[in-house]
Amino acid sequence: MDDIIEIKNLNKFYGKKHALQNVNLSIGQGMFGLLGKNGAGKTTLMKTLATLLPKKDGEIIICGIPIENVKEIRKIIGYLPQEFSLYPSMSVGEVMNYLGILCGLSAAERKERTEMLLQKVNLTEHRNKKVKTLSGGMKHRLGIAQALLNNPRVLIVDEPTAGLDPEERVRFRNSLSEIAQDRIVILSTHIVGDIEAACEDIAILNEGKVLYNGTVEGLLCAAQGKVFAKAVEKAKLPQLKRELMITGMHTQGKEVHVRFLSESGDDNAQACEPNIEDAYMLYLRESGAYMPLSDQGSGGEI
Amino acid sequence: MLFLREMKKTIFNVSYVLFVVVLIVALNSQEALDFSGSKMIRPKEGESYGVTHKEIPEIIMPKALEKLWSEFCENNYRTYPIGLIKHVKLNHNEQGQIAKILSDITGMDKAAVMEAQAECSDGDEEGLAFHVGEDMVMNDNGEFVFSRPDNETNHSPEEKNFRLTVRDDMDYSEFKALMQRVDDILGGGSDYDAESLIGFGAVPLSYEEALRSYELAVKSDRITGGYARLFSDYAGAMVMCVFPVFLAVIMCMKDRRARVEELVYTKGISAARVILSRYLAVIAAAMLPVMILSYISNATVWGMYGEARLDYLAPLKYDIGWIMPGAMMAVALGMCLTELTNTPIAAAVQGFWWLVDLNMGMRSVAASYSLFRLAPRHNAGESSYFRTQDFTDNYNRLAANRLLFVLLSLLVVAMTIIIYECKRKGKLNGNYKIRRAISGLGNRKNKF
Repeated sequence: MDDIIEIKNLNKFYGKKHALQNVNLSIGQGMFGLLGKNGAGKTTLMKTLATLLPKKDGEIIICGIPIENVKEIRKIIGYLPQEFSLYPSMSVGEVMNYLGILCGLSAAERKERTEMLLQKVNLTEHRNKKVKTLSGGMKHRLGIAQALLNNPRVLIVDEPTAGLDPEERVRFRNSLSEIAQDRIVILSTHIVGDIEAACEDIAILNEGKVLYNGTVEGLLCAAQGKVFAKAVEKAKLPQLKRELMITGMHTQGKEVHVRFLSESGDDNAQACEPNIEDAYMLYLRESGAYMPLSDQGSGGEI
Repeated sequence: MLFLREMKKTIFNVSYVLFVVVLIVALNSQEALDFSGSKMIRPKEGESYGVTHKEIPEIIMPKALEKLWSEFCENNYRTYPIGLIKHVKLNHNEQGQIAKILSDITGMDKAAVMEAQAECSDGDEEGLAFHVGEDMVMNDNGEFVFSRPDNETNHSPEEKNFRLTVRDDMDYSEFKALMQRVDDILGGGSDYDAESLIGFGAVPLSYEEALRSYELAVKSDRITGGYARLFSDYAGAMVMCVFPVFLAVIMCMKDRRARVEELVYTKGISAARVILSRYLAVIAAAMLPVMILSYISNATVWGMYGEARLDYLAPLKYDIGWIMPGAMMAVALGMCLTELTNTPIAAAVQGFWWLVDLNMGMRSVAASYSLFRLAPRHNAGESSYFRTQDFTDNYNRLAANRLLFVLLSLLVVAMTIIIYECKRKGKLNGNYKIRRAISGLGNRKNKF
């Protein structure tokens, strides 16, 4: 069986709300990023793939197994939800053992997998610590370790870096990249930096629709020649925000260096190499999904 | 293996410690942990042996009539429809129906019965001022003679007393049918329903009966069985038919509270294995202290009966056969409702059921084993637990009751498995609506 996930014409409703609209994706081995705003439908898609939500219609085949075959799908997936915790009064080792039983592993398999995975996520020396004493980053690493207990062919990770400090975030992304070498890892996030650092293939989801599906490089190419930078006086910043789509800025003395999207730039602006955040914002704007600050009722700085 | 992990999760919890404390305190309050002061002694001639209840029409009919007449005069009938006392007051038409029944039983004219009621109600149309006491007594013939107060001088000497007696040709089955009609008019739950009429048949126990009862307890119960029965009566009725529900609720809410629900749902294990392991773990954890305490309690009499052959397995038999089905039901209901609603509402539901069931047992004399009793009772006064005859006579009913609860609880567990699997697949959103409805009720209550 091929390590590939095929999603065809997937639809999902919450009452009258059309949460996923004709989603078509093909996800191969490696790290796949699912990018989108809060409420874009990322978690719905992730939960549907993890068999936690039923689909309305469409087709999902994971590594050759139709999603309807829930029992078999659960054997080959690992899942780390957006909001999760673990039994606070259990130790790290006990959590791994308990969840290993729920995966149907034998005692020998549990022991071997637990040792290997705790080592992989740098928690070996913490195996006797109670979960409630772990830091947020350690809990996330333990979350990844438990998701890998059954050595899944597909790992589904929903908004894993939310709430982590920058150091933990980098460490966590590195762990995921390592894990993705021999399996499919689907990473959903609204943090562009996570995708940029770890994923080759991505999809951008907005209001249940796929806006973009392809490589990160392809996304960047589309933004080529449309990203500019210039320095402006602080006082002119509010006006500039109204006129341009600003994707980044930093203050230097009385001036602000802004990075913005434009078809042609202007006399004072210099063309820049686009990053994924620029490209993502461009996609949102071009698809009409971007809401300017003025429309959001915010007049303050970014 | 999963069973052991789930059992560990249940036992290493503050709620479990509280459960054990409640169990010990409840049993100790009824002196059911130490029977060393309750030695069963072979009866000797010339002693008093207590009373028993027998279906002797000659005793039951006049006593039931006495009570009905008294309540009819007061128009205040005591019933126990859900175990708790309810004072029923009938309207004129219904009182007329009761008067007709009294007329059928006594042979008196219905109008005379109504007139007598009006007399004894002291002129109050509502009949609230009537007082039963020295005015009405049963004579040697089993007749009730109502004496009007002396200051009522406007009656002839013949009219001053009138006799209230069951018709000579009254057949007991006809009497039972009439009494059942009374119970129906009262809305059920009265002492007049066919099953409860035996309560009027209290008779003193004879020496021969007391001796036979003693010998049966020695032979059939092998002494320890009677003590185990009393222990089970208390343990079942006071603790095990209600408190295990808390352990079940906590077990099922643990995943949600620890926010580990979705992690567990996506694991490869089947819903049946998860639910059955948890169910058995909670049952085992709940039964463990009961079994230990039942042996501690029973062992207190082992040295009291010399050479007698004791049944050392009696506590175990009663733990499993008598107590466990009640606990199985409480745990099954607890898990099912918690999985369905994601709320601890099961504790309230089980608590209500237990309260009603417990109060229904208040009127029972002994061997209260009706088919739908959650907690069978066999304890109606001092040494009543040695009424082995009652036990053996009603054994089949008890067995049917216990079997019914085992099957019912397994059915509820099967439903829980289905609910759990539906939740895993995201197909059961009713719990959200139920939760909102419950919280809505709470909010509405707060407004008042």
